[in-house]
Amino acid sequence: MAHEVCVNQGGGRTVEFFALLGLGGVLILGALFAFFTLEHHGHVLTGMNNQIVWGLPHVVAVFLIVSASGALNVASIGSVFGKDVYKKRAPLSGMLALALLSGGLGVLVLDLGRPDRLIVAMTHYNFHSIFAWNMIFYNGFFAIVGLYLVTLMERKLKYWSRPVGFLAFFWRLGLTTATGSIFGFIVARAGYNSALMAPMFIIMSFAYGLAIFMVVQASMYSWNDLTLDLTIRRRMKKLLAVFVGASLYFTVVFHLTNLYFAKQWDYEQFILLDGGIFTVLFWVGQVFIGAVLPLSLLFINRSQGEHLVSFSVLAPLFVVVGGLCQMYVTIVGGQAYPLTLFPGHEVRSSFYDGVVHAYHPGIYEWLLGLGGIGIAFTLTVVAVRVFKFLPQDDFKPVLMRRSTD
Amino acid sequence: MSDSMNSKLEDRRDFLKAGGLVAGVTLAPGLLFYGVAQSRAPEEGASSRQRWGMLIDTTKCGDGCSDCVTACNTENGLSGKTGPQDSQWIRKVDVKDLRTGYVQSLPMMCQHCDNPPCVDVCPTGASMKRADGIVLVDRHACIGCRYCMMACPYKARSFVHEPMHDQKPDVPRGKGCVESCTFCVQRVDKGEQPACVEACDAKGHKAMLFGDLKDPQSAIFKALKSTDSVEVRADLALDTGVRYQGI
Amino acid sequence: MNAPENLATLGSPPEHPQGAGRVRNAAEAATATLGTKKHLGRPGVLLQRMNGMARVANLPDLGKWFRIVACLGAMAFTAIPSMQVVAGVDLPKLEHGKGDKCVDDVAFIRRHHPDLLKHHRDETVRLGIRTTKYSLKKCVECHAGSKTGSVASSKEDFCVACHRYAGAKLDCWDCHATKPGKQAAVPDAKPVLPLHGGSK
Repeated sequence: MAHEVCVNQGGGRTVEFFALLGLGGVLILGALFAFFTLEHHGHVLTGMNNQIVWGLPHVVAVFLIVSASGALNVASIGSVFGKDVYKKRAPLSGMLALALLSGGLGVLVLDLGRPDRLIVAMTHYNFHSIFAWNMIFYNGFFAIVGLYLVTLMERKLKYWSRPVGFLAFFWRLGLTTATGSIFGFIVARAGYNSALMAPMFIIMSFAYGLAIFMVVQASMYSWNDLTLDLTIRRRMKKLLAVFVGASLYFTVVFHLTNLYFAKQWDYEQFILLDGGIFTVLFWVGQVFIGAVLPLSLLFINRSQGEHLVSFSVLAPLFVVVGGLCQMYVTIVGGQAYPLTLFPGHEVRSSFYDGVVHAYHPGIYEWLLGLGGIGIAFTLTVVAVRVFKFLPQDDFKPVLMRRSTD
Repeated sequence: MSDSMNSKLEDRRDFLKAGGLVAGVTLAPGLLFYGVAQSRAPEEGASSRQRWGMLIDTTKCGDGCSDCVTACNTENGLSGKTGPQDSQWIRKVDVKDLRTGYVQSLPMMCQHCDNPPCVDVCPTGASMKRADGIVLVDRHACIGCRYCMMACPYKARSFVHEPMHDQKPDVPRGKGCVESCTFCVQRVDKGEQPACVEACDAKGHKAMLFGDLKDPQSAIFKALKSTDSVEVRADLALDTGVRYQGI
Repeated sequence: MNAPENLATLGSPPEHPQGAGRVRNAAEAATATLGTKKHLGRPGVLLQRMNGMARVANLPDLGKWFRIVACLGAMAFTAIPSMQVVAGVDLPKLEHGKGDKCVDDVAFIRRHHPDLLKHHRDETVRLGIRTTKYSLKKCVECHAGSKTGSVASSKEDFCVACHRYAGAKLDCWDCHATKPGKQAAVPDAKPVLPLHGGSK
């Protein structure tokens, strides 16, 4: 089997490969440094406090976890909905999903107050807790997607790739529902507490995952001096546009609903108008960079010929940046807005009741967050180098058009 | 059946308690409130026949007085610092009505809900409710994920950001775990009052009343029966053990 | 890698004349990379081109005996620290606790104190059972060192001395007090009204 799945792609560029590996390694080392420092001195060194309990590491972690399930979507379109172009990309999509999830979970674990007790988290489950369910979903995701990858890459097991692909598809829907519900189930905070969180996270995961997939795929083709077929690029661009548009739609509905509830007005005013960094990140980051800009790029009709910048790489990159902004606004913004203890009253105390909480991420939070990206990056670089993950489109373009439209 | 036996036993206990109360009043009026919290044998665990609760009369709570906070810090070994990363188990909150401008002051801490969101969300079950209604963090199982802090509507919980030393023997506290008001469980199990209540009484405000919400003879039961009281964020239907009157 | 150039490559449609020289799609590319136009599933060709993985199996000929000796040597090396333990070197000298004897047979406590403490802690925290026989607080009250007044402040202190020797890490003292409380010598204050909640 080894010779079928292990191919040293782009074998010549050893120096560049190790340079990339080094880059990822440095990011991971940074996160480990932060981890051991925090383990020794405590979270007092971070910008997180009793008001903003989840900070930058969680923003990156949740983004990576959500993207992981979204990256698997490419495989699902192939296995579950039978689209041939996507079937060829299923192994890469599965591998990316695993790498991204590893990165996200890595950050979450490294940020725990008592990471030494991870074994407790893995052996004691409180089934009332959506967080505990998430742990089950994450562990199961590794097992199922791992199995799925085996069925995709081993010819003898090819027959199983469809049922396992189905299982992986439903599992990832469950996973993102659970991830969204981490916030959706928080009854007390104005920024969360919405059934819309789960479906919104699912549709956002589609967009973020596909965007990361497109960037990685483009890098791989370019690394091997290949050109991805224009038709395939166009198809994926259209799909990304649909997902980004749908995410924008959910964002609009979410805020419209809040605007309709009088009790939510203050929170909406905070996010949409006078929330400082959160308002900026919402309008500029989430809405403009994350949705409007990529949508316009994706729909522009470009002239024939070579272009300096490929929009099928640029647009997904914007989506990723917008996604990180969205997570920051959702996670940190939701906590920065104070809890309402007494509606219609103004509260003041030594424990920062009634004031907007400030959050200044410190160096250790940055190191942890970048480390999560580093883990996902390194795993991807190694996997792509060692295994045969480059999509193998061995069909005629004409046939392809018919099979994908 | 056993029910009737239980009720007989309870009746007898209530009778004894009432007798004790009278004795307490006559013999040691200044220490009466010790008797309200009922002690039990050490080998006997917390029982669901009891539910500890508190009634806070905001009209009696002194504006600018923070003796309850100081007492809590002393009893539980908190530093008393009020930086954004410091633990505060109880705090004084000034509440101002936005239309009328009327200002009140009240103590806010863990409300010891019957349906505590922190217990619901805790992935490992470290956040827990004892049989007698006291909500605690089992630090041996807490992994420091801080989801309970996200979930608590009262902002009652703190995360220990720094390594600790010189803790109180009865109140273990350590870096990386979440903590909150315990109703001074170490005192309640000995039949004493929480430190904040004791301090409030000592100051003469008597704004905090602690006792067994299920015991018809308890002062808190009677007070709740004769006065209107509210839960903070009653809309969440958490059935809090701490109730307020006067707001 | 040179990003703009590569992006330009991606941007160019395959129909474009300039792109014609380049490889069209992935299947062709993979074969091209391997230096053969033949089908991928040809193990012979592939193995020749694979670097790294295959070679691991062909390490320079280490003799069988050399390997056995190397393994034994490594085992012996790792065993050196525990030799001292077996020989009873540097046994910790523990200070005698207060009172005549421990709450139970010393050998029993020595072997089972982790389980006893763990069981007791769960009963106390979760069920509110406050017996004192196996409580950590009581251990501290008897075994706090005379110099430091603590069970875990210096290397000689009761808990640390033994746990250092056994190489078993402790995290009790992250949270628990290592010194007895000031009122420890005084018996717990009796409630003014000695009423019990249960049958006692």
